[in-house]
Amino acid sequence: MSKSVKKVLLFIGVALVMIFTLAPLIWAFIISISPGKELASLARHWLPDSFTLMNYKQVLSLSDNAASFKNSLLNSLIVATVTTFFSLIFGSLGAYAFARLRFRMKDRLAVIFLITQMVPSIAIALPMYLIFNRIGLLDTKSALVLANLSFTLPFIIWMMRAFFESIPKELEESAFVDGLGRFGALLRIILPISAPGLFAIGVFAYLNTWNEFNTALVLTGSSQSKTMPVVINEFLGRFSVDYGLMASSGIIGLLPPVLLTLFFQRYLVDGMTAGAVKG
Amino acid sequence: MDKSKHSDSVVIQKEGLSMRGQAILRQAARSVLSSKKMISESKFALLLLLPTIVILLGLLLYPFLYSIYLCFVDLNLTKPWVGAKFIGLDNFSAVLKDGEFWLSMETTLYFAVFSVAASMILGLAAALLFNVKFRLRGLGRSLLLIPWAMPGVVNAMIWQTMLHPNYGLLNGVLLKTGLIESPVGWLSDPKLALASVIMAQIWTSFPFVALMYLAALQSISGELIEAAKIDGAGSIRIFKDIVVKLLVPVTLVLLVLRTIDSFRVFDLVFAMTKGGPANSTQLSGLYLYKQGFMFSDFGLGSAGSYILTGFILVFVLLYMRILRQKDRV
Amino acid sequence: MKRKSSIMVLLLIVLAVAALSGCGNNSNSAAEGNTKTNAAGSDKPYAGVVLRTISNPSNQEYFAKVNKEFQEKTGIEVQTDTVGNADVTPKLMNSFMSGGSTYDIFVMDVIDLPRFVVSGWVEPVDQWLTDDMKNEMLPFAKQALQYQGKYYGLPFASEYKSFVYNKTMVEKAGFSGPPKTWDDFIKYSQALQEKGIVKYGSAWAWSQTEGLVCDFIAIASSMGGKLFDENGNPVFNSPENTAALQLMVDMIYKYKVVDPASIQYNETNVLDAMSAGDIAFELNWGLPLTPLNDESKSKIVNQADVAPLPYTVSSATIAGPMSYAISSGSKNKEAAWEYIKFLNDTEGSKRQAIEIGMFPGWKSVYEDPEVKAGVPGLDKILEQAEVAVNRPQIPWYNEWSSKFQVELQNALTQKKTPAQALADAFAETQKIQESNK
Repeated sequence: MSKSVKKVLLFIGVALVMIFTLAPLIWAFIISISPGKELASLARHWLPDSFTLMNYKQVLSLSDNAASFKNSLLNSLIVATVTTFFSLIFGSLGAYAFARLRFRMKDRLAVIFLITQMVPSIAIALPMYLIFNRIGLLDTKSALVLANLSFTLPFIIWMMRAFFESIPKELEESAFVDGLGRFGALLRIILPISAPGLFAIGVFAYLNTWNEFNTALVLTGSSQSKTMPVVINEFLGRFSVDYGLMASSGIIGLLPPVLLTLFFQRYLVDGMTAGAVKG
Repeated sequence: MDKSKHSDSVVIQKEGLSMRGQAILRQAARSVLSSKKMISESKFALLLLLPTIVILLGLLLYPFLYSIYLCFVDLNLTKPWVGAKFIGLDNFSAVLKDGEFWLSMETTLYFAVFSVAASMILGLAAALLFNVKFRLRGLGRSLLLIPWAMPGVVNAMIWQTMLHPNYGLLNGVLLKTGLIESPVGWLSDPKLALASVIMAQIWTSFPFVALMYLAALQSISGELIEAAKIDGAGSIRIFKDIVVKLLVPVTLVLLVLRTIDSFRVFDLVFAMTKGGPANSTQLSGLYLYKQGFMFSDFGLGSAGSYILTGFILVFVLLYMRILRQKDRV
Repeated sequence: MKRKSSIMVLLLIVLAVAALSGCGNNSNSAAEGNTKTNAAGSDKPYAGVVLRTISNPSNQEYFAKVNKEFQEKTGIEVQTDTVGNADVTPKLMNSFMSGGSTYDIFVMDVIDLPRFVVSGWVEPVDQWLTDDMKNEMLPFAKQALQYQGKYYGLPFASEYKSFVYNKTMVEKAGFSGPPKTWDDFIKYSQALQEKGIVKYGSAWAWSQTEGLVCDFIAIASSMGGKLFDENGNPVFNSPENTAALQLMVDMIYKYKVVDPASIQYNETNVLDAMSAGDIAFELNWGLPLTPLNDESKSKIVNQADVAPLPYTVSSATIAGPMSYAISSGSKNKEAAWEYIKFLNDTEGSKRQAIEIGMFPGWKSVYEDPEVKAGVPGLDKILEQAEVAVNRPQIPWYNEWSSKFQVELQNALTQKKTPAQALADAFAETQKIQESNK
């Protein structure tokens, strides 16, 4: 295949993936700037006759009651960031143990970790509510961080383990020879090489926490802990769905994760070369 | 190989190591490890896993015990003063005898198989495409994550409105281009509804797959491929030996994670279809939700949850069997 | 070193287990601080009490205002947990399952009452209810508050569905008034469609939700059908019910006057279609003219009007009354009753009707001139209140309804004939009945 043909194919492929990814988003954007009564004619014209920023204004000014969207955005940011931070630390430590160390019950423990995530959250939500009620952490961000950690850690350990296992053992072994302990080898050799993997599981922890709804619904009660998905659900009234508000809040809610991933991108690009080890 | 060569820095070139060199290195590493300074492997493993184990035990042990307890009792909601009555396996047999449960399992199976397969293929394709260097690649990669970052309820709303027979984008486009003559009821036709829900699920879940593959592809360094080329490997062999071999562990993990996730999906159908039309999109998650929260039959709901868990476990163990045949130490 | 780390592990496990065993009993501390009552005899006997309630976001502002006034009057603070409409149920269930003290007060739908009562989750209010109150209530609203001889609240929203037609469109199609019979309805719809005024005459909330059961009961009742007899036994495989379901199916596939999208529509979608001017008839809850006359959302302002549902035997509709109820786990039941009274006695209901258009369940409020003036369209749909049918009061209602919805949809999607679907539903119902004995 000549280079230009390859280029065209690449372009077509990327374009197709982007259309699939972005078409629903653009649709959401159109809904968010359309006046309510135009929604029914959008299918025919694709764009509203007149557009409005009312929905955005309204979402950002919702503050007179429990449903303060801005507040929930902040809560979500805090919960997701803290959860991601601890997920990365605890998760990569645990994953290293599975990837490199020999210990009893290893395989069984790995499967048990996974089983904890297989039970439908419907069965888990109520007793978890009882726990946090008991220790007085209901309606706090800490409770959300802890709960989300318990959801992300098992998965993260599995994912990170796969990344660690793809790193040649010789790297570490030579580090031991050089007098680095296990911890030193993990910190100075393995983790830097695994930057792309760390980025990926960081995004995983962040976005899953960002979107977590079922547990957040059960554990929160007021604006001091309600996260964004919980507040967005409040646009669903008994016989009214505010499509405009939902779409605009969904789009505003995209900004933090998208900006963060843009910023941390570079770790995805050059893990191998960014580390202390160069070929 | 002389050890002193490496003493100043931790620079090594793994591809350059001869077999003999590797053997010596390994021996040297072992001897260092077995010396008293190094903490033993199982101790170190326990230490590393401790935070995770504490969090999981602290937060999930009780929920597990509680929900398992619910499986075996009749809460006797009608006579609260009697207390919970132990009824053995009645809840399990009630679920297993319920035709609606099996129908929901069948629907879930279709949902899981198709959404997992499609998101894996699409995700891998996207990862391979975005692994090639081109302008604005970084921005493209970030945009790729958008569907994943969308809260579930908004995702459901977007697809519901896009697939709306009269006011939706999809029918609008298809009618305008003349591909269809009358509106298609994407969510009102029992034959199409599940496919439509699967579509929405693929949209939210493929970015995760793409991201993981993208990260995995990064660790297949250029040097590794160069080295293989020097060894005289053809490009097909390189793909087979290096790329595929390194992608297999990630694929296993992704399959496991995506399967667990899609077996438990509940919000999406609850928001999009409520299980309709005529139960054609009632996934097990929704069935269990109804048993517990709407019918107040929490014992049945719990028993059903564990039956579902059993099914997921079978799937996961099957994957492991197939993909991890080689011993990975 | 070896010993040290194993001691640490042991310690942590002990700690974890200790934390867990603490969760073993179901006691609930969410209601802490709720019982700071003042000395008896003061004019604010419950001052300092905090009541917690849960609600969907509809009319938030109104309740925030009312709660504030209630606090000024009685010293009782009401904290409302606002969540999405569908999220109220799981949160409420969690409260019940953990002792019922998380929420003192909640809104209870008519279909939930029997199940909540037999589960012991809701407190009877007979000790506070006066005879005057009982005599004042509208019959269907009153029926919805009672189960097994006890009362469980005051009418909060005594709603029913009303038939709405687009007067302007119907006149344009050459008719002078609303359709009276189902034959008229089909004829009108076809005329409207032929003249290109609408694509479909009507759309209905026939998705796999409670709305479908509601619409079916309304239509079946208008054709002389009945679902359950006086003893709560199913009788819905009767010719009348079969004819009703056949009519629904035929209106989609044979006469093509009902938008097939109805199979995925809920009440919101129907309202959207009506306000977009895409259909000429709807059956919807509450005061359906209010949203249709809202400039910002509707394209048919001042075009719609209310009429009795078409019939073959006699017009009917479906009732969906709701009430505020007290959780049996509440530690502040008297204060909770004070709040319910404040919200929904005749005075409170009158205000609710005028300010947020909530249907009053009291006769005197309907007749109140202020209400008549303040709630346009209320008097017009009053005649439908008299023919509103309640759904059966059975503890396993949801279980039945869930199966029934599926069978109705089996007919609507032409998987089964109406007779077959109803026969299967009948068999399913007997099974449910048996298992709940």
